[in-house]
Amino acid sequence: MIERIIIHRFRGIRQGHIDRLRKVNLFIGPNNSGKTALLELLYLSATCGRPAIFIREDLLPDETGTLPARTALAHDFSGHPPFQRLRQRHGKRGEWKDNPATLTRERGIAVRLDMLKNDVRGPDAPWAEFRLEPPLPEWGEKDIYAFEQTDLSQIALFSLPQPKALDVSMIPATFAEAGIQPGDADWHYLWEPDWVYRWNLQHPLDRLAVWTTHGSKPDPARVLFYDTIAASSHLTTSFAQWAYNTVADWHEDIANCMAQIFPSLKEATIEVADAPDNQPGRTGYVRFRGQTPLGIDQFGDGARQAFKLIAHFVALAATVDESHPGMVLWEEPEVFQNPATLGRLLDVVVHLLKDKPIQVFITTQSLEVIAHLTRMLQRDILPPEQTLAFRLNLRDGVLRSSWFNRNNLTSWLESGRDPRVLEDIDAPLQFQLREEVHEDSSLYGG
Amino acid sequence: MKIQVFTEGKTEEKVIKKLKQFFPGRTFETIDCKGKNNINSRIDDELGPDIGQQPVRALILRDKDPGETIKRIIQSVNNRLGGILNQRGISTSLQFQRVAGVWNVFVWNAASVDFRLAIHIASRRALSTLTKSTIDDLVLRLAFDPNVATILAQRQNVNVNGQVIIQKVTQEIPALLQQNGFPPLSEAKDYARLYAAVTRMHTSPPVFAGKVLASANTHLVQQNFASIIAAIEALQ
Repeated sequence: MIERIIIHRFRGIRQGHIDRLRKVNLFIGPNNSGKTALLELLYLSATCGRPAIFIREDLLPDETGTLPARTALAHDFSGHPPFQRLRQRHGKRGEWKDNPATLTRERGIAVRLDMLKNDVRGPDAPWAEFRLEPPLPEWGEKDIYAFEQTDLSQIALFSLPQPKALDVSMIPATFAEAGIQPGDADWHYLWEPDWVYRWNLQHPLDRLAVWTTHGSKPDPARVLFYDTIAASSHLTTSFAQWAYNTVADWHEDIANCMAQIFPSLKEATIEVADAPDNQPGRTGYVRFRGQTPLGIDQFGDGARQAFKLIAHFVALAATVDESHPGMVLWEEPEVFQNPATLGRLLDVVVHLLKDKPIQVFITTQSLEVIAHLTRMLQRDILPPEQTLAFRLNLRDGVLRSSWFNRNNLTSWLESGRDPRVLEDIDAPLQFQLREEVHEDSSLYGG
Repeated sequence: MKIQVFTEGKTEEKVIKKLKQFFPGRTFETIDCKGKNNINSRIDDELGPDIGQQPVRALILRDKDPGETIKRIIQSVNNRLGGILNQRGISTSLQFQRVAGVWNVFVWNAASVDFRLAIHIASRRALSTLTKSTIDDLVLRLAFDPNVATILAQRQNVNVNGQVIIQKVTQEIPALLQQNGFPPLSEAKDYARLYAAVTRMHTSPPVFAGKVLASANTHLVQQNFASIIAAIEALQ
């Protein structure tokens, strides 16, 4: 489980850290406070699962010149290439054509940091170039980790898992001041300029976004990033095929969950099949006995969103174990959902993920989500010792966070204070924690 | 900036509402902790997420029960605050200082995290026979002012001089009770209820407090609650 993150120049965050991360983490706070940035950072680091060897010629023969590394998997849990996906989230083409990287003779990648676009070129640096070489295959085995030409536009990040030592040029000053030792954490380096905090360049390392993650990371192949784009896209064919072949009763479990969220679907079965109109990907079809199946995309946005979410969560919950822990990054569960549906959706998700080795990070702007999870904490449905909400605050590039445990959340909600906001706002309505939005007797013991 | 006021009960809310007039532009949020034993945990719950993140100003209004000492009350808050700060990863030295010229108000000022907390410990009894020092004592002291008593009686359409009401409430009725074998009244709240009954208010001590405060002039309020006003000023 990731317990701590320390950040140097990632997106709008010039520096910052977040501690005390738990199994279930809720990120709240104003707009532009770093909530989504943290999800993306976690996603990028957690999907680094492709082995490589980091080499800096200028440091050799020192041991810091060659270190075991990881870079992005070709596809995440839901079948998307991680870096491409995030670029598209930010309105860009998936491929990064300007990556100053070339293939090496050994089928590795050589990256010229000194060739990065001007807008983030920092002071002259000794660290101008490095390579990521594939590990040598065993005799007779296929060279599965060798890089391809297509990787050059898809890889902009590498991780160094708990390196024994690091050259001082690779350690941000703030990390050194905080006393972070190389072996304490996994170190992540991202060199695409648009992901790097771009103001006040002072040190050579300011050309890169660097962060450390402390604690154990999930299985990179079991990292699910469920964002608003996933909600409006079809399932990828690779994910749907894998889930169908791997997860026993996948369709039935989806149907059961959907019936709990939408009682009108109680008699329906659900199948996942090709998307309509020869589009790539798969989607869900709802079938009532004796009737023609209806594509899930014919339903309202709430049902479409819930279906895609549940299809992924059911598959993830069924395929994690202690050796292959998972991670869920869930952006704004409230999108498209009526409060009653939202409550049932959260109940179902907590049912699915409870007792599973899955670390969950949720961002939300919704007081209903906060209130519902608080109620689950009050009733020990969510374990209080494994759950915290974090209010994030990003000012002048410095990320700060404060945490709320069960008592803090209860106290604030009951006294009518809003944990999402930092200043008093002129809210049009006074809220209060409602005792009953709905009741799920199976959850609350009668 | 808002001042969060942690109280043992509801009477304090009426007092703070009245004292607001001396602090124009300031907002106050009163948090009824429902007893002294809950104050420390409510401070943790309410203030914990804000400390170190944004300016925090808080005031604790404590009664002093028999056997309690000011030192022990301060020590208890001090220990809990230390725990909160430690838990939140904030390292700063913690020391309450007595506010100059006010012996029952203490303030803690952590400039590094922009956090000030004052504690006001009620330390005056309305009558020498009472066993505790409470916020109700301060209200009662005000109600024992003859002018306030007269205005209260008039507002309740009780055609009796204020001095007479005070005489009945503080001496004649308690003496009558004692003569008939009832134990002596020991708390300010008892006298507040008695006072309310005599003046036909039919109400609880907090509402009684509100009516008393509404019947007192500004100068008298300022004088009577000078130590609480000093505690709020120490948070500025």
